[in-house]
Amino acid sequence: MKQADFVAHRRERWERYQNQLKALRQRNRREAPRDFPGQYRRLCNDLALARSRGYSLSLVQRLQGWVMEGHAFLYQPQARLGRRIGAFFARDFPTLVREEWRLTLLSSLLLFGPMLWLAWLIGTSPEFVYRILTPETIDQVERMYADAPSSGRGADSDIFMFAFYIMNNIGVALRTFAGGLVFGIGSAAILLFNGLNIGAVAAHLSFQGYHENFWTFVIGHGALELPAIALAGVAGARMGLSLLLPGQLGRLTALRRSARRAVRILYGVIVMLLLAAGLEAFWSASAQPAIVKYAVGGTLWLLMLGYFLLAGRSAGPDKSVHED
Amino acid sequence: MRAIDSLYPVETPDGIELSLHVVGPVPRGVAWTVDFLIRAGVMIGLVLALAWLEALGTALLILIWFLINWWYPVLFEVLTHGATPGKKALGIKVIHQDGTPVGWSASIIRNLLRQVDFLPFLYATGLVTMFLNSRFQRLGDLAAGTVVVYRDPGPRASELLAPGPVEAPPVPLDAGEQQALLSFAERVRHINPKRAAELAAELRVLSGSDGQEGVDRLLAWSRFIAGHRP
Repeated sequence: MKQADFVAHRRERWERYQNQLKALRQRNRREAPRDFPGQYRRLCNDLALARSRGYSLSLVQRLQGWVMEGHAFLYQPQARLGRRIGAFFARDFPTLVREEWRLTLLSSLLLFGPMLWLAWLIGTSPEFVYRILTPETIDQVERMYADAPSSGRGADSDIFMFAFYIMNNIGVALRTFAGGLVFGIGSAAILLFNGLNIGAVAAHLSFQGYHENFWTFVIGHGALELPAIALAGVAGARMGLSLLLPGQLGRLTALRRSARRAVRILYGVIVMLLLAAGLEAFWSASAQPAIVKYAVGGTLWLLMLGYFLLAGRSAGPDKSVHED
Repeated sequence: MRAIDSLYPVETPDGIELSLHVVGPVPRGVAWTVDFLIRAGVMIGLVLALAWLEALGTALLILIWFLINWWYPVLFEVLTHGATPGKKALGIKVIHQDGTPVGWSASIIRNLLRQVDFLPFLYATGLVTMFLNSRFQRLGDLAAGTVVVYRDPGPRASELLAPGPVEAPPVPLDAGEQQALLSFAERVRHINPKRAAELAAELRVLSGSDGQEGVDRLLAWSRFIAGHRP
């Protein structure tokens, strides 16, 4: 069949398809008319014919343009967001973390290890803190915790701190994740750095008589914040490890798959840090008796531990963890 | 053609192959600069606009800065068909490697890993990586499985061949030759007449004529190939 006949034969159908495309584009609808997929496949057929018969480039390109537009509508990712979010936190997220238990352990060791080490070291020889922190920093944190957490802060500055915590903590988590691409070295370095810093501050304040002001402030949001940072490290390390030990896959494929997995952990991390920022700004600084702060904080730590150890187990192994 | 063009073939589930044009580093750099200027402009505007709100204003500023800094490209890519305003201005977009529109996971991965591509300065790592693969993917693209392609599949002559005299070519032509003739005929409107005559003169042996006459001859053959009736 010559090109002119080919075009004349199909003109009507193509116009119909174009009208459907236009309607889809304008209303930005996700669901197409019922016969759209059929129309689209017939157009694919036309394109294949036009190509194999060597019809003119402009015709082929026009057909390809229409096919591409239809393809973008038909194959866009379906997001039933609400349900997926629910399932994610009820099951997928803790399951993912349990599946990565080796990396979680390693990552926790990198973050919490230096803290324990410094607690012991600064407990026995207090001047060691000057090896880790500058005198200015020490002076600054001492002044920060000289008063009880609640004193002298209005609602305005609560909101300000909330914003600051979100930016700062999630920023740290996102960098920890991205640093994983450098064979996991970036993640490990950020975890160690934070472990050393937080450990030195905590140990110093604890042994210099600021313990009550410090611990009542940090115990609550720490339950979400510290595990979240460790898990951001897990996400980064997952990527880095896939480059070092790709297994049966090519390195690029391994990286792509592990990045998909890692970013799912990161979703959980971001939500944990949002909650932590809320706690840190509106709860940790509130004027509650120390015993209440400790009780709530301790409960939060137990809840986190229980969540990651137990949540989603009853559902059994679920394949959906691996889908995108 | 594929050997010299930056074409990237994608096979769809419908068994058809689409050819996409991948985008090189220069347009992407320009798009990034446009986005950078937009972001900087919005931030400066907000700093001025929210100054009177004091602490609350600062809090809002920090939140918006966080959003713009980390999530600007992600939100735009996912919600506006794969293109930030900068990319849109340059007529390019991000898609999955399999040709489907970019989703949340892929967009978040490629945009968070930007930081690594940026190292040690001004996307040096990303630039080197782009030259090490055939699709101009930076590290973030490789991890996310995305490519940046041109929105429009190249120049599209909208008009088909105008009617006119029809004549059979003196010798049988194979499919490639037929297509070359058709392409010439469809583009002749956009070519300088002298250049068109020069091109047509390449077939002097077949057409037996030069100049405008040669061009007309080729057009007549093309109409025959396309199936026009005399």
